[in-house]
Amino acid sequence: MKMLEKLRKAFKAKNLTALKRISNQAIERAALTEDPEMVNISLIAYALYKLLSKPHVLESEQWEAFVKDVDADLAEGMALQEKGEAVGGLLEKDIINDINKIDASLGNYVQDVIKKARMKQASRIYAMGLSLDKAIALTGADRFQLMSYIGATVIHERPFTRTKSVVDRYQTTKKILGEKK
Amino acid sequence: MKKIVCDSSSLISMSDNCVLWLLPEFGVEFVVPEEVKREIVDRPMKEVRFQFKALRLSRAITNGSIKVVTDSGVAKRAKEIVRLANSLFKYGRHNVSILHGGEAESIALMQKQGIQTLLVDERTTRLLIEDRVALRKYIERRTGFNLKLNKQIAGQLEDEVGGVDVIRSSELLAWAYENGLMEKFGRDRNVLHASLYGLKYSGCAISNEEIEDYMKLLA
Repeated sequence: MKMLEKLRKAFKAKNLTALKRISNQAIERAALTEDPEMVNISLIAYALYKLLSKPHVLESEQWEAFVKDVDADLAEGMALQEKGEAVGGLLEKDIINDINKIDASLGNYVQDVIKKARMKQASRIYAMGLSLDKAIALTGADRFQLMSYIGATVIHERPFTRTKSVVDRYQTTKKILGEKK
Repeated sequence: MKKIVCDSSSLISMSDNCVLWLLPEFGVEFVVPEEVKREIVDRPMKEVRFQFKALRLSRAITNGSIKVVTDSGVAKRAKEIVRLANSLFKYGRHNVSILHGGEAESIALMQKQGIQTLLVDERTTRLLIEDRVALRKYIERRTGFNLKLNKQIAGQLEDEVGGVDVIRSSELLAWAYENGLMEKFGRDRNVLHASLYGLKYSGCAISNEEIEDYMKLLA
């Protein structure tokens, strides 16, 4: 099953676990292929997962219309993919736009859910081993925010991240800056 | 005066911990390529949430703590660095694209200006320079991908970046502590511990174990 189809199915079923899995799979694929459509699918899946987890959003007046719009857009996207056509415009201008609208009217945070998705998925790309700049270039995440977020994870505790001992690196530093004043 | 090229990650960690004031105390010149300046000042200035962070870094440029170097050959050199880095590993038919932007320009600036030291807090650039085998193992372990290494590219990269000294903001802070520059915060070992963790939580790629190693070494 293609990603958009999986996404539509998971959203209809309100399957939070599946939406998160789709988001992660899409971003991992995007990291490898640098496909912007796959990045947008990842962001959309994550944003829908977050919106579905908020009772006040599900109980709002706007929710039913939002679900109809997103479902229709995903169906249209699937049809375009069947014809071998690009879906980038649809994903960004329609679905992400719809998400931003409902988030703006109902969200409790200054940061919108798509921005949060960019940061989370950029962190995922960095965790895979790609550079910070690469993660930002692929997702459009904010640099300052991403660095703080990464700092609070265990990414830098993983094996194979240490290339020199502290003693050696500090020796190098003293060689450059000079010995104790 | 010796020079150190900085990428954005190291300057952001230091700025977030309000230790940019230390830069003139090290007795070396900290330089950045234009792309790094765009990353730490120009772009974040457009978003109100990050404007003050950008202003702090902009001030460090204005007061001479950080120097922006314009070198017309840097962008072209950076493209070559990116090409090499992003053809190093292959998964199936895909090259694994690992490097971008300011990181590549920082390396390019070092080459164009004959500078040997890079100040970088993010992890991948450091691994690319110091240990490409470890980088491959890291990516394979995290992704489950079985990567193929392009030996010719690896050789070319070694020629490009072999011999580069890489340090992090944590090394600068450790030196500052050992040399009494942090005494306004007190003289006890907690100053070193707290400041290194401050950098870590701001994104510097230093592990808990490495911080404890610094404590044994200096405190």
